[in-house]
Amino acid sequence: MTEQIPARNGFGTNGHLTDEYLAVLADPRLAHTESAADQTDDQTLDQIHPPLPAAQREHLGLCGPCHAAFEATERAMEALRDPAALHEPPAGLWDRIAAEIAATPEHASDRGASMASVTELRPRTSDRNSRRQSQREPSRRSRAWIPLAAAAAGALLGGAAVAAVLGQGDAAEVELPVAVPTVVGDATLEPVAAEDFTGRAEMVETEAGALELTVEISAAPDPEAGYFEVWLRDEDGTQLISLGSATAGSTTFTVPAGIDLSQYPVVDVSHEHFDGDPGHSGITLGAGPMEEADI
Amino acid sequence: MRFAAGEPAAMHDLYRQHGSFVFSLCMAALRHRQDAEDATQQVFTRAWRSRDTYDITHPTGAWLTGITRRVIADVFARREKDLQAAEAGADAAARDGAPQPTDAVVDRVVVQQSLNQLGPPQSEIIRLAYTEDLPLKIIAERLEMPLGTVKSHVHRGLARMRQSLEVHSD
Ligand SMILES: [Zn+2]
Repeated sequence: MTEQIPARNGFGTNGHLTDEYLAVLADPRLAHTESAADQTDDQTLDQIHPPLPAAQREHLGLCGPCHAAFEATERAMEALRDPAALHEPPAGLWDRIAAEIAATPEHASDRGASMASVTELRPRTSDRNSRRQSQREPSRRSRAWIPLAAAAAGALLGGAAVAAVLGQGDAAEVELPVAVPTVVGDATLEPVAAEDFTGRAEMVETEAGALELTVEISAAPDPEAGYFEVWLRDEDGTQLISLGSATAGSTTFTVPAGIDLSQYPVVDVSHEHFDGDPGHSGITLGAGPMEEADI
Repeated sequence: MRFAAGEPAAMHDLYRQHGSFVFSLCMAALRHRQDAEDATQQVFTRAWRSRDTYDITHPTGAWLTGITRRVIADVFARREKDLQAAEAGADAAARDGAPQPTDAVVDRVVVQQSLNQLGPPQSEIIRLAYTEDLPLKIIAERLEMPLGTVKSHVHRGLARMRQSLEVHSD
């Protein structure tokens, strides 16, 4: 078979393990054997599969891409035990989607394909004024914020329910922070682990150009029960920036200069314990995506 | 991407291309036809509203899969809440098992889609080897192929499956 690279070599020209070798690692039945051994039955082949050569084993341990590829191969084999049926969506579904899209108020013309960044979050002026000037225009609306519908993604951080149950209320009942210089975005913090939680967050840009996040939350836990901590994070909770601890009511944080907010589109309030662990406890009380300000 | 620039027609293209995948994912995860239809509708309207979060350096399918995961998570959260409300003060009703983690459901839909794309005989060989769990030697006999050829179809098919999974896992 001319198409086969001997599996015992295992490395491709790019220095990584070959597809074939990765498959053999995940399923030893695939080991390329001498033609005489092809006559042996598969059970025996499994048993006589030679131990991994040290070089390949070491590479698999050290190389992130190869390790990820190996794990994905194992996942493929697992998923193949019970592939999910494919279904065509019902005929009328697109019409419903199209109708909902058409009903969505849009200002699509000045949205771009690029990810928002701190720079893009600055309020835009209608003309080509310098940025300095645009910063002084307090009431322009920033259109570049990323409206990610990720409120419930906080649940991914950990499902543990929290004793501090704060009441789900209408966000409108919560007093808004006064919009000092320029509001660039806001978030309604939907309850995740705590049903009773209400909160809002508002991002403003100061005249000096700094970003400040003001978070209003409905209640704080008892001192023995820990404290609230406010985070900016991505939807999956894999990237987090702690802004600090919050008290019931309103707390304002300065957002570190230079962070790419498109990487941290979600405001998250966690319940932390006095355990010396600086990381997120995994208990998100409430979270919500930042959306462009509507002022 | 045209849809990032806000063209509804481009959204329709996206739906034609990925609608079946998204709907299948919702069906497999939610196991309820009406919920799956509603969720699919939500996925595409959310995609429309948040199209400026689309990163052109990544495959569109992966971006939609991410949105679908979040919509599914929302449905589960809502169901959980409803369940808690229904159970308040009463004995906990027997639940029909915890739902399979969405990651595993995504994998199961992705491999099915990849099988369809592989086509015969590779898809058939992969199915026999892993879904039917047949020994490779039996497969070789059944398809009248040399064992080495069967193995080579399997490892190339697995590589394609793995690559599809990697695309949808970010
Ligand atoms: Zn490698």
